[in-house]
Amino acid sequence: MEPTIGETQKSIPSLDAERTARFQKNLLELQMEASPDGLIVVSPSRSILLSNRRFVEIWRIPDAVVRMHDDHEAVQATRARVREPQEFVARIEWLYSHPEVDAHDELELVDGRVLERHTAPVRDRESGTYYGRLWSFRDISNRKLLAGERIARRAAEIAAKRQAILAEVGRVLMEGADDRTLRTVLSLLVPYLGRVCMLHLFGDDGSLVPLCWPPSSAGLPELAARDGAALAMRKRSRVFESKFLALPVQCRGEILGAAVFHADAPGFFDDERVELAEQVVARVALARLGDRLQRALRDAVSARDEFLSIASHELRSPVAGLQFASDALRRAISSGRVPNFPPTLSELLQSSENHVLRISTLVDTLLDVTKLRSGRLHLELEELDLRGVARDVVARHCAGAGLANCDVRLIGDRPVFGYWDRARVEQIIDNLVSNAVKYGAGKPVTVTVGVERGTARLVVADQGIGIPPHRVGRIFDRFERAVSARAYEGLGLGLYIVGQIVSRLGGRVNVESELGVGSTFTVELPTSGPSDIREVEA
Amino acid sequence: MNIPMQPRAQTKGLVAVVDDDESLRRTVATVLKLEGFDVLAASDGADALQRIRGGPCRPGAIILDWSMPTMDGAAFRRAQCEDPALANIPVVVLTGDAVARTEAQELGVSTLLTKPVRLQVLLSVLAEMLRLPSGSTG
Repeated sequence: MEPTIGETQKSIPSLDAERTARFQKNLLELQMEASPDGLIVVSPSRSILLSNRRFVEIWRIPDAVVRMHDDHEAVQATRARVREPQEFVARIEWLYSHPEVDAHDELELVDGRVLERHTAPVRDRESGTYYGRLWSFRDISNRKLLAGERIARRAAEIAAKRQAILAEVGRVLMEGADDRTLRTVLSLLVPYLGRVCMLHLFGDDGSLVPLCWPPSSAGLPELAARDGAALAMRKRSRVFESKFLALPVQCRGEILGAAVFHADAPGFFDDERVELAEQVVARVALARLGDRLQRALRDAVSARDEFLSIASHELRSPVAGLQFASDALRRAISSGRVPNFPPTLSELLQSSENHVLRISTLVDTLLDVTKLRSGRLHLELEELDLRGVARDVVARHCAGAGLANCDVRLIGDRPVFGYWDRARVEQIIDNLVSNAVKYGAGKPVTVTVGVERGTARLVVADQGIGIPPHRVGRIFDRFERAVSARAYEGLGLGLYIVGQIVSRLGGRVNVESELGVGSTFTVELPTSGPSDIREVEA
Repeated sequence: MNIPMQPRAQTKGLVAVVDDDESLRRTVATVLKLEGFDVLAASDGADALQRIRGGPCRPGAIILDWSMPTMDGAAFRRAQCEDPALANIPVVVLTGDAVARTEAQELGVSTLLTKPVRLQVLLSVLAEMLRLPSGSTG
């Protein structure tokens, strides 16, 4: 009969102690093998006293390394597995030199796994003798992954929400930044950026206009809002009284006002919310400034047009005086009332007449532009022959150039009747012919008049310098010219006026051009006149 | 009011020049005198009414600016039409303001010239208004 442990201890103490120790060792080995953690116990002389299979598995090192029982070999084998090997080894050495220290940390491996590391000294409970150090390693990669995914998902949700708010704010601000639009913007921010969202913006008169959402809560956090606005005006963004966020509304260094957000919960304004608020406010500032610049631009353009209109009106009287005076002089000389008038003075008079003509044309041009800009161009429609008008214009050009040198030719053998404004049609042809002669390099210019299915067509073609391709599209814009202003005089308004009048007459004009070959302008006009006027008269 | 119907016999006739622009007024007056007209110059509508009514003879034509201070062309034209002694004097509106055209037409002004205008054109208009023999302004 086998003795019981108690009997053995009692009758054969030495044998019992040996069995007990073996039993305890077996138990320890079983426990170590059953552990989900990789375990290793290292003596002060750095030999491996104990280790388990899990340790080998976790570190993915050969069994042989552990069987060498040399911790230095184990460190060498494991250091290649970690992301920061130098730091890893230094930490181990430090811990061995500080036997009293318990430590807990995480290790990132090069294969992406994360290990939780725990180490503690192993001592005799009673004597305190230091036997060595226990290391334990647990693979927490899955746990980390799940936590990371949760964080990433939450971050993605927040980012999506922020993007949605910003996109909607951007869409609303496309319409402008007036009070109504800004209230809509504020409504989009509640409740994500607080229970009450406010903007305090300077109006045109310099006073601060408060806008609030929801509207019913205006005045509720009035004092704090005022303080916040004052704070933000000093170009500082900050959370105050833990429930308010104040931001300056500023663009290009200019303070346009302030935004104040109010929440009930302290700590509501975390980094995410502050950043979103800043982005929204930046968009508001930009839109607000855009509105103001647009208004300023409109005012400036309107003031310029008004100035041009007044200037061209005011210039008319002195030009009229000049015209009368030079005409009177010419009449006096022609009628022989001034005998023996020297030819040199006559030449001077001719020069004066030419200048009067030029300045009067410029003034007319300016006035036309102001009328076209303000929509005050009055049309006097009548039935007229386009070919007849073209013939008169060509004849006038030829008379000016001297018949022998005339290089402008009219093509078209039939009258083309339509319902147009005679003076304006004359102006169209005159501008196109003058233009063709001016840029025609002295070569012939043709004016062709025809009609097809209710559309009159006037084609003015030259063989001159042509228009650079990149300017063809803008040639009917104001102050546009094909070549530098220094080479050719004029305001650059002739073709703009042509384009505008043609459009008012319900027609269209286009140009085909090749550098060094020439330009061809084609005007098409409905013979029935502009449709809006036809409708009015019908 | 007793205003003689005809000006001095040796001139082509009396023409009133009503314009607030002094320089232009003087130039027109000088040019017209050079062309053989008598000229009555006035700086606005009220001035013109006063001078015409107080003058020794009635002008055969009136050259009228439209935009003037105190009494503008339209107001002058209305006052002229209400005064039987002046109503029949033909008026040519000489203006830089194109919007005056409709207004002037409504007030019975048939001739409107836009500044600047060639002297020949103005002289032709005056010749017709004063019924001068053809060639007298050429």
